[in-house]
Amino acid sequence: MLVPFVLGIAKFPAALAAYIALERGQRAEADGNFSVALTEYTKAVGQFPNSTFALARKGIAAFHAGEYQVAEEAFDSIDGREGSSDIVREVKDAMEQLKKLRK
Amino acid sequence: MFFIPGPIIAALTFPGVIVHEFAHQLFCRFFGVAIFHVCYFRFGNPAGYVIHEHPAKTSQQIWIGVGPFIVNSILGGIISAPASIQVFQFYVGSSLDFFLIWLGVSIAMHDFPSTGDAKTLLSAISAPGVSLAAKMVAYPIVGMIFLGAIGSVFWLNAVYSIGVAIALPTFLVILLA
Repeated sequence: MLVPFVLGIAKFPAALAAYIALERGQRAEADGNFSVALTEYTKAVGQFPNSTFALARKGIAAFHAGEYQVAEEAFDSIDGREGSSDIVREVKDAMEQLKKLRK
Repeated sequence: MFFIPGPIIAALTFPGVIVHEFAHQLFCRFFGVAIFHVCYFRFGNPAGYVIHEHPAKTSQQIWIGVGPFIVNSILGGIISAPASIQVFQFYVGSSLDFFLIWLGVSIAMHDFPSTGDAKTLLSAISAPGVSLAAKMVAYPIVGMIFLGAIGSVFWLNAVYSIGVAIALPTFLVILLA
């Protein structure tokens, strides 16, 4: 019981910080403050680099913040992965607009 | 309503039973109350128990009785919260995370003091010589324990344990974000 407890104590601050960053990112995104959202999502992704959801949100926020290179890298890293239909649609829209901008 | 016999629930969530009895034992040790026998887990009713001497003070009896609520809630929350953030917020989770969620929820699920604990407490405060102040504190606690036991029939302890594991981090985020 001691090992899971120590593991929990060790992981809790970082996991909570990442969750707070994710929440702040979503709030900033809802307010249209995409550069703040990008900063917060980058923090969250730093903690959970394999999270498709966090990477997708980071890519979408980066796209709206005009950070196209960052958006492209985030979308490339989740290419082929599954996600909820809403987020897949958002990512596809952003990727299509990115392609148009590139042309 | 969905009914699962208590011994099956106890077996599926056995770490919680162990921690529950450990919490009673911990508070007995803390107050220097002699312990005669501890059963951390068994297939039966009750699934675990601690037999100890009668504490010198009523307050000690109260602390020993409610000890599992404190220990199981804290332990269950700390073990499961990081894993539940990973699984339910970031949608990434290894088998270790699912194991930790099960462990944390199992522990938190047994944080309600049992009706046995309530009966022991009730007999302690009903004894002659117990002050009115002690009775005023202890009777509501006994009442809440019995209510919790009734609520457990309606899965109150399961709801509470899931709350500790999942809702607690969300609550903290709402406060801090």
